[in-house]
Amino acid sequence: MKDITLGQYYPVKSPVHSLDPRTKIILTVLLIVFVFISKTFAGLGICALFILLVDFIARIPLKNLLKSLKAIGFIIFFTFLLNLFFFTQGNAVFEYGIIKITDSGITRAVFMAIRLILLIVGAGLLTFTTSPIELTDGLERLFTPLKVIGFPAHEIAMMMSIALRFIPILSEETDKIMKAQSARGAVFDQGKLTKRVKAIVALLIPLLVSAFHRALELANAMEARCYHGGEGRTRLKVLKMTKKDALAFAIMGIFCLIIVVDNLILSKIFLVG
Amino acid sequence: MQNIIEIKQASYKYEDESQEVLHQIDLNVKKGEFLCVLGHNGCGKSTLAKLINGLLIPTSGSVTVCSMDTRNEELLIPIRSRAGMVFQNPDNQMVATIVEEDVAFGPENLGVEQAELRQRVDNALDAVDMRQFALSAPNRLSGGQKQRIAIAGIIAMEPEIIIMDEATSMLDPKGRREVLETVHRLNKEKGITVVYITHFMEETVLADRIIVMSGGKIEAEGTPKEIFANTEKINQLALEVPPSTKIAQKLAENGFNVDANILQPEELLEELCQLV
Amino acid sequence: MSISIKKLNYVYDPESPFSVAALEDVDFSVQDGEYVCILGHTGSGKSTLVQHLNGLLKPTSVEEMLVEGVDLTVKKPDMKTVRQKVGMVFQYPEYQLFEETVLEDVSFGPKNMGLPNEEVEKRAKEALALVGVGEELFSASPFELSGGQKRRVAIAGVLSMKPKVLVLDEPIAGLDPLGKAEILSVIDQYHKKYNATIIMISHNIDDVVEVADRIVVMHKGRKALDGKTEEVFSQHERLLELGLELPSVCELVYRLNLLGKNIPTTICRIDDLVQFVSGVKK
Repeated sequence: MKDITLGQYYPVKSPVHSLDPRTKIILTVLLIVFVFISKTFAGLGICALFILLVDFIARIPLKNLLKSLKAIGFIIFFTFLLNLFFFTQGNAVFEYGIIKITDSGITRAVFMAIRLILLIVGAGLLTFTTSPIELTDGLERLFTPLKVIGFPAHEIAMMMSIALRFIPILSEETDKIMKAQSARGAVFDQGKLTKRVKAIVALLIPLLVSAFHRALELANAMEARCYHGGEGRTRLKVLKMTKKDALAFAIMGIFCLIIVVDNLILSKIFLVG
Repeated sequence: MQNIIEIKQASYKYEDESQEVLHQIDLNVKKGEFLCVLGHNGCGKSTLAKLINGLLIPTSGSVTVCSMDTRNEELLIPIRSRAGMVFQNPDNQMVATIVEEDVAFGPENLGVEQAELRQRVDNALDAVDMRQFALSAPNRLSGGQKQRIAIAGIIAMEPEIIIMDEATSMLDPKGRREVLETVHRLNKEKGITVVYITHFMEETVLADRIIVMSGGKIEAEGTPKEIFANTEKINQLALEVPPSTKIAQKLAENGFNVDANILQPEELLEELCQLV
Repeated sequence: MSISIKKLNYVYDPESPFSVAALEDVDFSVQDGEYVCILGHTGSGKSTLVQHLNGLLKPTSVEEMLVEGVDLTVKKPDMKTVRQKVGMVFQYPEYQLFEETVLEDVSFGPKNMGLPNEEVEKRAKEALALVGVGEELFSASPFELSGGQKRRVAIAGVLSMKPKVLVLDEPIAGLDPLGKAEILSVIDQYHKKYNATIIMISHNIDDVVEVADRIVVMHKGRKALDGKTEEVFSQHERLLELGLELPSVCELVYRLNLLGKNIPTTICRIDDLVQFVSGVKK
């Protein structure tokens, strides 16, 4: 129970892993934007190639990356069907009652499905190569300028990192309380609904009490260690952009340029969207 | 020697309770002293600890730490950085998911500059002999190791006082030994004043002074020898004597010529050598 | 025979590359009414072992596993019976309290056994009496009690099921001397009153030596030592080798013998020592 890996971080050493988390967050946002504005299959193809290239450099097995699609497979399929049935322009290739499937409907459905897949996999690259804690750090720094308008960047980051710290502890605790109540005859997975509800209550209440208790103790401990909000805090770990990050931005720039060119020129020939 | 902690007539009452948990406590702690606080659950010793680093402010009376009065709100941060506190549950006092970042938490809050911060964290980890775990996740450490990290987190604030609030009560014997040794070493080598709250009598035998609390008052005070010599009082306060003392007392009761006031295994060993 | 286990193996996450063998070929038998203490470091497998006794963990492989007449090696073992026969008190059991009143919380176990209401109440009250929680607290919220009281109520919640075997994982951890003594006395009473089998994990070696009939030492997932209390504690060097503490009396005997004295190593309790010294003096 002690080794629960959070999210899907894949801990290996690679040039992508060692990039500044801020770089990766910005580049991922850019990637998502450019997947969105690609208007042609060729454009999507370039995006796919780019993602494959980054994945290769990041030394993440493609299999793992594609696994992240599993959870939303249904949504992809649903989007596909939606486009297939409700896009009625173009020549009909199949008609039955009110159902009409057109050639451009098929093209569009395939296009949308691929776009969605690329979006998920592209965003996945970020979470595969950046640990949750780095991600938190990166987001905090990126949002710090927004403090001026009252955005609680530090507080949100602090909450996220405490959550990350306590998830394994609480999941271990859940396991322990479940066992303790099972030993007293509680049955969680079978029997009458009322009995099962009772068992769940017997799990949830102690868990809540304990979480609350831990939160109080932690608050005390943080206060005892002079915590007084984000003001005037320094940080041990300072994020620094290096040449690598500059290089990553440059590569991304080229990629974006290609997509723009593709959109301007090729889209005239194979316009789909 | 000057007093580093001065508690004068301090009382404390929690808002939702009718009775005071601490009643007119007077206590001075000298710089560099190793003070143990004993007492059964609910005797007020944890409240006392929280008064010393300003987590709680006395409802009457005063607490002065390094010449700073805890009633002055502006001094709370300096007071807490002078008097660090280690709590009972190792898990509930670690903030970060990486050891060195947790150690840095205190000085980060104090706004210590980055270069010095690095230095302080490394030194603090060295002081508790945990440098090799700097980049580990806290989940992977034993209870004793976690508490040593908690101590390092305080050392990194360069404190003058460490308050251990039953910090060994959830540890196994090995962890307890590690933590106790660490605190004794810091007390000797760095001259850090220690206020050590515990249930384990054997942990108190090397203290300079012990106070025993009951019902929110200090019921007994003295060197370990003095405290444990008064068996009647110890029993009355629902405490016990250290294991070596217990054995010595049993032998003395049975008519053997053994000093019933010994505290440490070494002393008992010497006595027994004469007997067998 | 209360418990008979042969060649118990347990592997955490057997599928994953991180799989760890938590128990390896452990034989563990306990007679009716025995008081057994299990010692070992954190991670030695002692908690994993006891969680097999009422089927909370399923062995990766085992040759024989009979607990109070229930065969746990079959495909669908009789969990209901084994959970009633084997009561399990976890570390810091006060964290399992959840009901509105003390009495209801203690009734949770017997209720789950499907007993009639009067019997449930009778058992709950009996158990509370045994742990020394008075009637005035029956309708109190368990969350308002003191630390020591909570612990006793939580233990009553297991005793109310009247288990033949009572398993306790560090029942006295984190308590003050008074709280410790209270809990140990509750366990002792239950042991004597119902001739119950007690299996206790504890680090408090000076207490263990006074209460246990038998000691089992776990080390790295294997059973390292198993025998009568004085037998196991007579093996000073072996225990130190395993990184365990010696009871204070054994520590003394060990060091006296190092100094060239000739003291029987089976002396491990204070009374034994007093008796021995008396013998020498006469």
